[in-house]
Amino acid sequence: MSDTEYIPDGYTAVTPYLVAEDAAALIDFLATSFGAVERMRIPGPDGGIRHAEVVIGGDAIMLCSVTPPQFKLTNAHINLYVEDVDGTYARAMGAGATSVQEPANQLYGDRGACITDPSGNTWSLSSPVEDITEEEVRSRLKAADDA
Amino acid sequence: MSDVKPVPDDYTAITPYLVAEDAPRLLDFLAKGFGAVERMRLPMPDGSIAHAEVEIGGAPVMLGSASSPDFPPLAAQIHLYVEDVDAVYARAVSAGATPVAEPEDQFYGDRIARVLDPAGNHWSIATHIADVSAEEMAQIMESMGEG
Repeated sequence: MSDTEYIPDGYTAVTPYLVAEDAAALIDFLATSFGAVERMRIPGPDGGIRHAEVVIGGDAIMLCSVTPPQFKLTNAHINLYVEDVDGTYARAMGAGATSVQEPANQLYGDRGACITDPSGNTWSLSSPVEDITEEEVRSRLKAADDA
Repeated sequence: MSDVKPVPDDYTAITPYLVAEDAPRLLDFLAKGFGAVERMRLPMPDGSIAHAEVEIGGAPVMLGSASSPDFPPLAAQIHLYVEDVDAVYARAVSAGATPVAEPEDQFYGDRIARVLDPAGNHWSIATHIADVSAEEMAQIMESMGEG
């Protein structure tokens, strides 16, 4: 072992890795919709991307299009906390997203919306509007199930 | 807009959301394989999971059961930094993961192993072992040749 920290600076333990047919288009979408800031792009052959990293809300996402044989295209689901769900949803739709769920207040205390990006990954856009306990969420879920 | 914080305490902006046919089994695997600490579980009457949250290395991962056409089972890929990649790889395989690649030092400064969890998600298990600059990486890749 070296004396390098095992998690490099600027990373968290867990980072989603998106594998897309067209990673460059996905990066454009993430920049337009979510204000993603590109911090690394390593091109591969044929205009593909071997590895890229963007930062959204201070957190990293890794992605690529040029894949070793053991990588498969992902259809990931990511929960993204944003300051303005309605505005982010509108920007994403304008940038080519498909709507799964329009913005609405959710019984668990978030305003939430859901979209699919052009590569097929699903994004839950969330912003808490109520401070509620897990117990309250449980009782609301039960009431909804019983209704 | 409310005065509730847009990103709640103990959350990051970006959180991977895993959707599995058998979410309880995936929770069990994440605990045994990666030392995930469960911090929330909202079970449904049929034994499926509406929503659960675990922490791995201090970072949250959300998951739930595939419950509707809007939420089919997904194949995500996650980059996971751990202190000892060899030990975590061995633990993950003994907890039911499918080996994809054994631990090996990579030129970009991580030692990496790859597994598929029982729900089919691809985990790149990594320990950062050296700081490599973008310039050094570009040189190494050039010397490797493209493709």
